[in-house]
Amino acid sequence: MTMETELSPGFQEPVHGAQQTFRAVLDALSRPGIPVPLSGIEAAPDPMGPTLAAAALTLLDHETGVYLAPPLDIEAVKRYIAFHTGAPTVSEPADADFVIALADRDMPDILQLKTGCAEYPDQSATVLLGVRDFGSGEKVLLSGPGIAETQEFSPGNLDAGFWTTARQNHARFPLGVDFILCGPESVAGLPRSTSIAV
Amino acid sequence: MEREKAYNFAYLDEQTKRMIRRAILKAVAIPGYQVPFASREMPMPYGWGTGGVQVTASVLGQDDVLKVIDQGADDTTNAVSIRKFFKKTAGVETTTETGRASVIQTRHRVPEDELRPDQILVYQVPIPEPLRFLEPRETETRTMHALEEYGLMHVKLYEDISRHGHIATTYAYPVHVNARYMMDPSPIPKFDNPKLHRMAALQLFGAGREKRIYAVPPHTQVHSLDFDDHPFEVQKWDKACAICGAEDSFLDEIITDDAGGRMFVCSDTDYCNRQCEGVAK
Repeated sequence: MTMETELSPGFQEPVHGAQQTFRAVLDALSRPGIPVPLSGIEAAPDPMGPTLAAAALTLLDHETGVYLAPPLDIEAVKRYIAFHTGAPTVSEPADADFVIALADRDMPDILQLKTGCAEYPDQSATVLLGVRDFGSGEKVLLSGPGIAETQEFSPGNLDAGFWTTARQNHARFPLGVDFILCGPESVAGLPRSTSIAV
Repeated sequence: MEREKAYNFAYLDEQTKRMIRRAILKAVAIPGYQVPFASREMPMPYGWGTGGVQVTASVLGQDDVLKVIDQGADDTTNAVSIRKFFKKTAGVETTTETGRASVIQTRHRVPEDELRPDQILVYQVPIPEPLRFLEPRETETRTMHALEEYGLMHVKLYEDISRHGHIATTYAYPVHVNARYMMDPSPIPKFDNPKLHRMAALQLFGAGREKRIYAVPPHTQVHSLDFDDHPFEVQKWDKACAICGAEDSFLDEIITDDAGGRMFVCSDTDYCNRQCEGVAK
């Protein structure tokens, strides 16, 4: 029998680590398109970055089904999420409360995720999306709640069709999914309420 | 002050905080929509701000500076006890100065000072549903919000006008958020309603007994309902504050004797204090 690989640690201080991460995520979602600095968990298993891991450990628990999109559906990440959060993994994206994905890799069809219903639009999925950076991608102009006038946003390595899908997502408001984009050292929010001009 | 180590940081357990944090994020993503949450029993009775306390406990960190006001005052029972509660369970610094606070929990007022982007305003909410007194059934009000069917509230305001000649609603004045959801701004005087519109700070609302959380993100459009021929108006006084002389603040009427004597003073005690210092200089 082979030795199990060592389990990577979570937050050094779980209470304060989660609180600081939550405030960064809250700030990010309150001001769409403005990256908020977040140190994250350095020891996160590859290919999960430090901020993606921190967001997951802050928001997930046994009440939230999580879908790990390839290449994150590997044993190391599954065990990491299971041990630190207790969140059950689901095999269908449409059943997930949280989807964890990397921007340019097998992202599930956003329009097939849980959107909530007219009476309860909050019963929808949240997508934690790992991105390369917040400056090298296609530039879009955001407006809506949380934005004074307009906000330029250009996260790197998103799929070519991402913005089209994101606009369709916004068109369903108040239904829809919310994105928390996790870069190397910061997070940015893209809630369903944000309108996007390409 | 050293915090009481027998409790988790900020009293709530981590699982509860996560549940509330998820609800807050949904609330921010759908401005004005009431997100149901599993409100906990708190060591204070319902009606004392258990919703606001749970929201504050879920956002509060070690480095935050907390201010708590009740009807604008820092020195009333509710404000003092909630401030002491977080001093004891979270060990955070507290203040009465609006400008120094990073998190402000409030009951029934919005501070007179303009809030900044790095501040969070947490409201205590008794009845989160603006349509509740017009339609008691939750299933019905849910449907009304889903269909954006708000005609009933306009009828109510119209009946005000036909009976009194003006809109007689003076507090908990309904607003339309981001041109979508109708929202109860909590029982703040309608004097404060214009401050909600495009406020730079994030506004979170917690209703403990009714188990709802809702939010207004920064810079969001908040429109107080009105009619073209009866535009929204705020209260005005023909007096200035008897203590500091401010003419732009919300005034409380204080009865001073049993012969009809009265005075008007600022409801925002911090604002009043600073006005006094300014006058002294």
